[in-house]
Amino acid sequence: MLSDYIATVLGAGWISLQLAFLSLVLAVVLGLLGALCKRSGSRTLRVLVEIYTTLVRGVPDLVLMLLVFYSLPALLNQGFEAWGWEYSVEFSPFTAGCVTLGLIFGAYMTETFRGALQGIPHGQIEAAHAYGLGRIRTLRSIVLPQMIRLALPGFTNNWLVLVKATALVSLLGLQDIMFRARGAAEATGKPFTFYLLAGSFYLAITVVSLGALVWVGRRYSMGVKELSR
Amino acid sequence: MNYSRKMLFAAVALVISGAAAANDTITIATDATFPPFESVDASGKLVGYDIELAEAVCKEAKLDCNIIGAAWEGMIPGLISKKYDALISQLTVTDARRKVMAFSDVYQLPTFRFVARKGSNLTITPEGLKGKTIAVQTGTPMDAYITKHFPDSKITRYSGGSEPYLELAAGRADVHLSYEAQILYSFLRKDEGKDFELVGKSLTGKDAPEFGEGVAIAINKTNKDLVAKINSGLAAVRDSGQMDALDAKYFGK
Repeated sequence: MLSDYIATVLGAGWISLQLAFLSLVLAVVLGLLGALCKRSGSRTLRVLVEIYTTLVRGVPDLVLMLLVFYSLPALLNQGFEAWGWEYSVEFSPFTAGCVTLGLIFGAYMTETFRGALQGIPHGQIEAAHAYGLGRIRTLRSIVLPQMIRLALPGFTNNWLVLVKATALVSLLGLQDIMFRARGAAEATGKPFTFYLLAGSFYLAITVVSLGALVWVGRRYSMGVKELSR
Repeated sequence: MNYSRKMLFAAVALVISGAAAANDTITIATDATFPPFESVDASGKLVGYDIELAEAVCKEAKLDCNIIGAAWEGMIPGLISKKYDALISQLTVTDARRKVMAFSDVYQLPTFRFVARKGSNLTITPEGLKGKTIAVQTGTPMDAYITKHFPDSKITRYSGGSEPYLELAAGRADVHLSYEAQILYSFLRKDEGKDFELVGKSLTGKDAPEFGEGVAIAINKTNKDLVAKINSGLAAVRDSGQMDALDAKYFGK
């Protein structure tokens, strides 16, 4: 009986993982765009991204999530109605969670990536141009590989916080590991068993991620260590 | 309105709507953390009195219902923003709730009771519980009753239904007030509850208005049509004896 509950709760871990990965992809895309905008020559772009990162980092995750899930569709639908369109928008808890977490962590990633970009000496870019490399080629072969190395510590932090932040989406009714753990805890009257189980799940993800990211870190610091020591 | 823009919006709406419910499906949400009324079984399926009742009502009213688990904190906002068409979660009808949602006919008149450690000899009066710690689930009729009538007691409030029992067992709370059926089913029957007993007399909405007028299905305020359909379903379930069968199955009365 208890072991069946444990299997169901752990099974829901897959939903949590999917949510975390999809949000991460969105966050990295937004972060890269944001960082490039912040470093661009256009004042408008810089101001827009500054507003985005300030706003998103200043509002609590949960508030933003509730706004996206409950208020945004209602607002959009009212707008559609006022314009006489017959569409109605509805976010599933998964979509709302993914979009919100992507937006929030996109802002943190923007700052992480911007810092990494600043760490690359401008002389290297000028040298690349002098060798006749185009903008795209410079970005791909010179900037990105070094950026990965410089951004990795901040990226690791963001990812670990993101994984744990997925638990918030259970408040929207997403059947993730937290939601299932709560259901099982209340049904069996053994909260410690199931909350500890959920806790160990998050801890396991952290340990595995740290291992993988240390490997990536070593891979991208090849040839750098000797110099910096 | 330019055509291509319209198509774009249609596409966007389609993508984000994902698996949004079809027009005829009624989404009913429940906070499945309150056995024996609503909880999840080992496979994650919703079970309990309210779930079986909702299924029977939908069948009688010829409604295509989808009953889903939701979080207590998100249920009422979800009903108001039309994410859910109805809620069945041992919701007590009160005037405050009636301002934001519609209710079906009352389907149950719950009784409430205190539970305490055996031999604690507590007198269940405001004077008798003076200085004692009373644990309740927050936002419930029990919470409203205790807050109003036991001003000299220490009140601790919890968001879940099971936390007050843990507090009782740990000795951090002296008494807990809840649904009598829930105390009997989910606490006194278990190992943890063997040193505890029901105290005081059973309380109902007749004893204090805070206990509400009974338990009903909550429905979105703008959906008058659904209120009528659910009421006809409830009447059919009651007349055909299915409600008595459910009462017998869960409460043995």
